[in-house]
Formats: sequence, C-alpha cells, structure tokens
Amino acid sequence: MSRRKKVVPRKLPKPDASQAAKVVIRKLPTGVRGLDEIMGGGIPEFSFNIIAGGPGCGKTTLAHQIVFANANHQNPALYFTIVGEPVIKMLRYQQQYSFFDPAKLNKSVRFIDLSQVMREKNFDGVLEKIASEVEKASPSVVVVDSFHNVSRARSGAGEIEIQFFVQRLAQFLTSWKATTFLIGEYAVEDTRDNPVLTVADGLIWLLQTAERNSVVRKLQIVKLRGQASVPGLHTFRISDDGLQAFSRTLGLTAKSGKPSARRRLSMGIPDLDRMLGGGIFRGDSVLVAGPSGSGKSVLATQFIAEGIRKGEPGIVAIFEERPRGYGARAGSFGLDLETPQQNEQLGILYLRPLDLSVDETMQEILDAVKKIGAKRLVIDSLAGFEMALAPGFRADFRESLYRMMGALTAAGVTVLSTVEVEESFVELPFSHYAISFLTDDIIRLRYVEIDGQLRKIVVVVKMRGSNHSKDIREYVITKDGFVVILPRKTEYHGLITGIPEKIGLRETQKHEAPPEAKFVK
Amino acid sequence: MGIPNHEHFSMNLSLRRFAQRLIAYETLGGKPFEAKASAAGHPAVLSAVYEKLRGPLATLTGAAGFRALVSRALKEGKEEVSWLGSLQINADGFLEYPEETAQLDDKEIREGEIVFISELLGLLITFIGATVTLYLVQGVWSEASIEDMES
Repeated sequence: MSRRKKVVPRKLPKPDASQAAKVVIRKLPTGVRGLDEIMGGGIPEFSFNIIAGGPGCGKTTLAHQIVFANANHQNPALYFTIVGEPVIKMLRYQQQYSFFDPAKLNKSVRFIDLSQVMREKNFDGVLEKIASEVEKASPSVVVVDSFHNVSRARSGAGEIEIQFFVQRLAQFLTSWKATTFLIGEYAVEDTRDNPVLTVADGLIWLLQTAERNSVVRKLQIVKLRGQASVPGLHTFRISDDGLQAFSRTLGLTAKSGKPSARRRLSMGIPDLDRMLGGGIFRGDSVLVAGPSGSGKSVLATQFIAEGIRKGEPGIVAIFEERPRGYGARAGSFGLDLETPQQNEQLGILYLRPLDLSVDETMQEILDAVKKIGAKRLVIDSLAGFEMALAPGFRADFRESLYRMMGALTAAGVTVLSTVEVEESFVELPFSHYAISFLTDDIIRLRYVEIDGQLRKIVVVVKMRGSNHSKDIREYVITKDGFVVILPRKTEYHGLITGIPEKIGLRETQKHEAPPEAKFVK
Repeated sequence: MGIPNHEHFSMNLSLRRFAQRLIAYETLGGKPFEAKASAAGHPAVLSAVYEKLRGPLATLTGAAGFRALVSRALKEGKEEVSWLGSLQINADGFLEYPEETAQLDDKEIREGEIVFISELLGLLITFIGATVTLYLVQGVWSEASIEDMES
C-alpha cells in the first residue's frame, strides 16, 4: 500500500489591504541640482510630462539635462524635434553646458528631426515615425520638442485631433516603458481647459519675468501624479552647468528639531554673556540691531572667533565689505581669522552684490555651512543682504529668511544677524524689517548723549526661554574689541531715547583722552 | 574676398586628410561600394563615405537641413573642383550624377570626393564643433580618431 501523503491545498492568505503590495514607482534623477527635492525625489518612471513655458526660459536646456543625466548604453534616450529649433543649432548651443556629453551622441542619446514628416504626413506620420524609432531603440527617456508648436503650425487641426494624438502618444510610450517629456511654448491662457495638459502626469512650468533691471526665473511643479512635490514657485538660475533650482524649503525640511539639552554659548564678551544670563542658547537666532558705527560687526566677529576657539566652526556671510578687509579689521582687535580659514574652521562668504536671488544666496550659505560643519553663522548684515538681491526678489526676502533661519537653527546652528537701524530719539526700534519675530534673542546697541559725549549703550531686549539682565550698560570699542565698561547707570533717566536726563548728582567730569583707533587699514 | 589665414589653411589641410582617411576606410576595406543608381540613371561615382554619412546626418538635421548642408558643401567645393557644381541633391538626400561624371577619371573623382567630404565636415565643425563632429563620424567609422582629424 502506497503511503501517499495527503496533499492539503494551501490556503492563500487573505490580502491585507494595509499591506497590499503597491506598485513601486522608481524616480529618475533630473540632473538639475535642487529639482529632485522639489519634485519629491525625482521624475516618476514611465510618466508622461510636459515642460511648458515661454520662449527662452530654459525648457530645452532642462530637457537636455534630464536626457544626459539618464541616458546610457542600456537606457538610451531619443530626442525628437518637430517644429522649432533645428537640431544642429541645438547641438551648437547645448554643448556649451557642462552636462553635455558628446560621447553619448548617436549612441545613448539620439536626436531625430521630424519636421519634414510633420509637414508631409501630419500627426499620423509623426506618431508612426516616433513609434518606429522607439521600437528600434527601446528608449528609457523620450523628448518631443517643441510640441505645442505642432498644434500652432497645424492651425487647421482641431482640439480633438491634437488631444487624440497626445493620448495615442502617451499610451504608446507608456507601454514601451519610456519616461516622456513634451516641450511646449505655452502661455498661461493656454492652460485653461487644455486637454493636452489634462493627459500629462506631470507639468513643469518655467517662468521668466523681467523686473526693473533684472530677470527673475522661477519654476513650478503644477502637477505631478503619484508623489508629493514641494508646492509653490521656486527660483532657478541658468549657468554654465545648466539649470539649478532652489527649493523654497532649501532642502532642510526633514532636519531634526532644536537640541533638547540647551547649551549656552559664549559671545566672546564676558560681560555681555552675563547680561544674556550666561550666553546665548545653541540653535538660537540672535539679532544685533544698532546704528552705523555702533560695533555690530565687531560683536559678530567676536562671536565667531569665540566659536572657533571653542572648536565650533563658523561661517560669516558678508555683503558690504570684502573678506580681506573684514579679516584685517578683526586682526586689529587681535582676532586671527586667517588661520581658521586655512584650517577650514571658518568660511567668509562675500556674496557679490546685485542680481542675486534670495534662495540662491541662501543655498550658498547653506552649502558653506554644510561644507565645514559650521555651528555658528553670522549674517552681516541683513540690510546688505537685501541690497545684494535683484529687485524682483526683495519681496521674498523676509519669507525666505524665515525659512532659512528656521532650517538652520533647527539643525543646531546658532545664527547671529546684524541689522542697521536708523537712530531715533523718540523710540527704540529693533529693525525696519519687522523681523524680530524671526529671532530668539535681540541685542540692541545705541548712541546716547551723556555729559557732552556721544556714548554707546547696550541692552538685551529679548531672550526667548530665559531670563536676562534688564540693565542698560555702556560699552566701548577698544583694541580688545567690544568691551562693556560700566555697570548700569542709575543717575540718568530716558537712556533709551538717546537723550537722557540727569537725575542724580552731577560729578565733575575728568579729562578724557581722544578715543582709541578702532581699525587701521 | 578675404585672404584665408594660416589657421584656415591648416584647418582645410587637416580636413582634406581626414576626408582622405574616411575614403580610405571605405575603398581599402575590400568591399566595393554598390551605389544606387540616381534618378537620372547615371551611376554614382563617389565612394560610400557620403552614403554612410547621409543616414545619421539626415536623421539629426532633418531632410531639409541635410539638403541645405550638402548644397552648401557642393557650392564651396565647386570653387576647387568644378564638376562638383554639376551634382544635385534630391528630396531624399541622394546625389544625382549627370552624364558628364561618367567621363571623369579616377584621379578627378577622388579629388572631387575629398574636397566635397571635407567641405561637408568643415560645415559640421563650424556649426557643432570638432568634438561633436568626430563623435558623429565615429558612429559610422568607429576607428576614426582625433589623430585622423589633426594629422
């Protein structure tokens, strides 16, 4: 008798909706710095996308960057031109960019001109030719440039005909596992109820506007199926490396919060540390506000130098002064900024004035912070920063500053910004930027008239999460830098107005020698 | 008419040598070129170099763009080799050979071909640069090298 094992049919486990295997959508890199982050990780594989915008805004360059970033021997790319820039001219100009790799030409990247096919055989002919080339090459990336011109050139073509063409193209290319980009010159009014845009999985909109004397370029991911992109308009720039995008989140959205154990940092000025209740908290944003010549930069330099002494690398972003002058001035106070720069403990960024975009500038600062692992950052000054921006970007200044401060301080970087305030003798303004809300701590410097002299006082106005001295103290700038010299004054009333009133006994004033030299060039 | 400078002159010489090298790849390879008869019925006299370049270049530039390039190359070449002026290019990019070309001897044909191919390559180099042109040529003759262009 055979001993047959009874076969018990295996029951398949019931699918658990929460654990059902979802299709994994891979993401292709764009080859554009900053854009992958904006797109939520990259371009969804096999998606059908439209790159739209006006003439000269970088559509073709973006498409080329995507093509050259992804094409290789196993995954070739096909670039079809229908109506628009002739390929030979496109190659002439695009090869100027660093991403252009001529070795890929006609191997992993093939350009195919279909202008004649379009003229002679219309949409059907174009579709047929694209299909035959795609079947031959099995490309991973397909670009059709410039698509919208096709519909314009075929003015007789109805919307239905164009939509049908795009649908067939999308269906065909998706089934051939190609990630596709149609390039189109669209104006905003073209987008309303546009069936072509409805078919697309992704819509990348490039904008270029001239504001006063500068050009502002921005991009928007209007639509992206299957993944979350960063909403809103993002600045981009076109340089020798092609496009570079600057995400509104500056790539720091996922950073951890402020350190739970809050350590105090010395400003490098013992009396000021005492006024601050022992120093400022690591990860705070400090605003030093004061009029011109009151010693804001000196204070900032001492803050950064103290950090270096304590093994905390620092970055100084300056806008009004060149690094050499900045270093020399620090030297006159006995602070050596040269050696730490050579040892990569300090970076002095001189951000060239005018025509900068705010996000681009912030990206430069963030890159520098990341490069040396900076723990302290000085922005000297906010007014200079704003002036360095192209006029069109100044409207975004506060918002971008808010994002950058938030991102940096959340990452544990302590930020000290200086701001020049116009001296008023009736009030004590902190800044005309209304940025006090951005800062955890505010140190206010001001001039006062005392005993026939223009002297300087310092007061800690705000210290988030900590008590601080309420004293108004006099300070001087000496060869040792910012030095708080006197205890609080009780014999005067109205010090913060700048024109105090003597309420105590008047002492005979001693003769005072001429002031010390602050800085020798 | 401007006097060609030294750079221009040496560029022309290099291109002539490069064209010669490409023709040599075709003619010394042991496989004679079986040219298609032109529309007029006269046999092709040039080697396969032009035919081999025609495909990738026409794909890249489009038929109209390719015809424009070839017409310009023939016109430039005619200044040195007059019979090149008698060639025509049809809608598909094939060359049409007139009856008189049948009377040309091998030396005349080879000289004309070198001039024509070098003019065509020269136009490409002017527009898209030597590097990109070389990569396009290597797509057809993988053995072609930068030394061929520079020698």
